[in-house]
Amino acid sequence: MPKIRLQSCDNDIFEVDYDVAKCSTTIKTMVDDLGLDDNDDEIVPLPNVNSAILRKVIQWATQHKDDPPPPEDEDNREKRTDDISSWDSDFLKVDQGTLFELILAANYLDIKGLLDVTCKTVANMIKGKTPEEIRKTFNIKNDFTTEEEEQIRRENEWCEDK
Amino acid sequence: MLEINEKLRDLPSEIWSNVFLFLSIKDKRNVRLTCSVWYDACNIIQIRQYEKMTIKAQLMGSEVIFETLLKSKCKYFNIKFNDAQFSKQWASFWKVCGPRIHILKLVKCKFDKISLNEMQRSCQNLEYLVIHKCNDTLRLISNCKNRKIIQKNLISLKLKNNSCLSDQCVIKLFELYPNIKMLTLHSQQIDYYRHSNQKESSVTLQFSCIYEKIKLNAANFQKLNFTLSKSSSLSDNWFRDIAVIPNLKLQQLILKNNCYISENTFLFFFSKQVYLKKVKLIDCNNFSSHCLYELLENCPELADLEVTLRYDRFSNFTEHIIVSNKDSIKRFKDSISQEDHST
Repeated sequence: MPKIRLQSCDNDIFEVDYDVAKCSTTIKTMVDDLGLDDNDDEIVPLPNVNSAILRKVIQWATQHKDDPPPPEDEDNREKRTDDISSWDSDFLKVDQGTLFELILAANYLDIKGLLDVTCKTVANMIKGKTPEEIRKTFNIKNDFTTEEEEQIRRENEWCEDK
Repeated sequence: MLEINEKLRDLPSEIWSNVFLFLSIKDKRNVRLTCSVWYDACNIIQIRQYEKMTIKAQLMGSEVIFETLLKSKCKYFNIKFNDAQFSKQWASFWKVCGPRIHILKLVKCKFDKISLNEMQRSCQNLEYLVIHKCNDTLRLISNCKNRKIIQKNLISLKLKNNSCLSDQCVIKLFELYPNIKMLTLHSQQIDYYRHSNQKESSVTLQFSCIYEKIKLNAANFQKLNFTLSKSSSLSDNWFRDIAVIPNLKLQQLILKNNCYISENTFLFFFSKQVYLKKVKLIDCNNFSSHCLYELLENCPELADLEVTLRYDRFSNFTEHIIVSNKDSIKRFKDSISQEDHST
């Protein structure tokens, strides 16, 4: 199985099966476009990901390498958040700093499956909360004037329940 | 005691938009109220996902709502107008809000010529249009002489319960919206076919103009949905003709109540249109287990299936089958072929 080498921003080198690395559309594009797989000495630099996070990402990608490609977004379907597998939910029992870095890495590396599952985890922190509780959860400052807030409440009233 | 996740707050707003995709409307309303950054992030997803800020507009007469819409900073509108009458006064609304409307549903709405013109001119970013019980509006559109107003961004058109839908009207709509990828026709009571001495009993729709337009736009056209009233049916030949349009790679086919398409036509259709991903055939009388087998055999991309299956043409015994992902479809197919072997 062909291997490729990934370099984190703190200059650690990770040797990874290509089958695992291609979970990342960003890496796949680099390898396919630049023909990196022809040259064994070539290293794929990932200046936006540190070693600790890259190790986590590789761990996730190894677990999920045989997954079918995630379905394309359907226009109308409301997305579920209660379908996180037990492996994933254990994997994501991390401190918020790590979760934050993981989301950014999944976004940069373009790994849809990982981005979805991390975003679902964050969405679950919002579900069922009032605006004030949401603000507290993320330490957000309310920057609306009373009038603006009234205006949005009115807009909300006309949003249909569907 | 709430857990504080201050760090996460600093995620970029395009990621928050992605997070909000997983929320219900109710949760999104709460998010919109938290702060201005999230209000914007929440509104951005409205277009990506086609749900959303749907406004119940039967209250539209009232000035307050009119003002609210005008003042709203929301960048992406998904608006449903119910029973609204649009007159000259609406010009300012269309001018200000029109370009922000991505989804527009018109139910029992009336326009005058000027407001229709204004609507069409300003809604340049419209992607999804539903016209439901709007006979007067459709008549106005089919008589519209101004050909300069072309909405290139519109990809999905849904026409529902419009009794005056004529070939001429459909031609006009396709002129206005040349890039349609998805067409949905729902229960058209076609008055003008009745005029030609045909009684309530089955009316066969020709829709030759739709065929022509799909043919012209074949490489782009992906989804075809037809729900007809029980008293009408698609023409068998029309359906056959669609199947062999060069370059047409239909991904979605939804037919309901289209009783008179024959078994052979279904078989033929599935042998030609092999890119189907989603198929729903509800109450189509001649859809037999043989047709189902042919569909499963020919269309490897199939990932969403819902059919009413008739076991043989002489009995009323039917079965409703729903299989909603690729793996289950594969297992389902295997189970059918095993049954075949054992019998």
